[in-house]
Amino acid sequence: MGTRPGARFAVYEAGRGGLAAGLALLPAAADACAVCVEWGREWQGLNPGFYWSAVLLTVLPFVLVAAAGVWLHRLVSMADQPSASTRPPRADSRGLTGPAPDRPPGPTAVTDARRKSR
Amino acid sequence: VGVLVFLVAEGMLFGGFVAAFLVFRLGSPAWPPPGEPRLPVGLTALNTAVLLLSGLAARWAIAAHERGDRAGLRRWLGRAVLGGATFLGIQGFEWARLVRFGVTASSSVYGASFYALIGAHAAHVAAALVWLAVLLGQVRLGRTDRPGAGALGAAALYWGFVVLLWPLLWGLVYLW
Repeated sequence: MGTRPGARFAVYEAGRGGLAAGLALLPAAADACAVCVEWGREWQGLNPGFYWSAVLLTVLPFVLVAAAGVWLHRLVSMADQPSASTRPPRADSRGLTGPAPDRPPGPTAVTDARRKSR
Repeated sequence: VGVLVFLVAEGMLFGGFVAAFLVFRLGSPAWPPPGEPRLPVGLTALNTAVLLLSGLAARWAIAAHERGDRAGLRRWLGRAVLGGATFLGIQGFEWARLVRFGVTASSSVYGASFYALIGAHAAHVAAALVWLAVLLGQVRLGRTDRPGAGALGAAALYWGFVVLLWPLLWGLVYLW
């Protein structure tokens, strides 16, 4: 007499779910430590030690990747900024790019003079 | 980017060492354990200052390189290497004293955790020092017009990691 594979899989999954729920509801069982073997009375602070080391190792990858990301972002934004030598001259309030009084008469100045003479 | 990925992996390596140290440090009722010597704070504080100054010198070497100041690059890179070598020398002296006191990697958990954590850092300092010394040799001999910006930047980044890691380890192992 055989059972359908789908049904067997469902029973297996239900069993796994039940086991997980059981462990979650029994904290004493979930708290079992695989490496806590006969530490003796002088090692009473071991649980906080395991706790803080687990917290450190959980948080550290995120901190490191975030730090690397910030570093890369900083590099990219610095590379995007044009350097002083390549930056175009800043325009003033009149839209002129150079110091107006010292500017030699260029083609624009010549056209202006012709317009005035007309 | 390659060095950055490598440094993230290095960070996890040291995270593992620190986690192991935390387990032993918090698990023990007294630290250092009875019969074990206290670690010297004064000498290592001086050593911390030396390493931080060396990191600053490497930073200034990069700044000189960016300005195109070859003499400045040579001078500051030389000082960074000198600072790193001084740090390692003082570490070696301190380790010799600890070994004379009977603290070895196999003597106790105290010794094992100390040498694993501080020894791993010293190995990194030594590796970074070799890297910086090779770059300094290239600059001094003038074999290359200037070291590749990538090589110098990567070495400085690695050195910065090693330098900035030390105050954390020092606070954890020597001061706490």
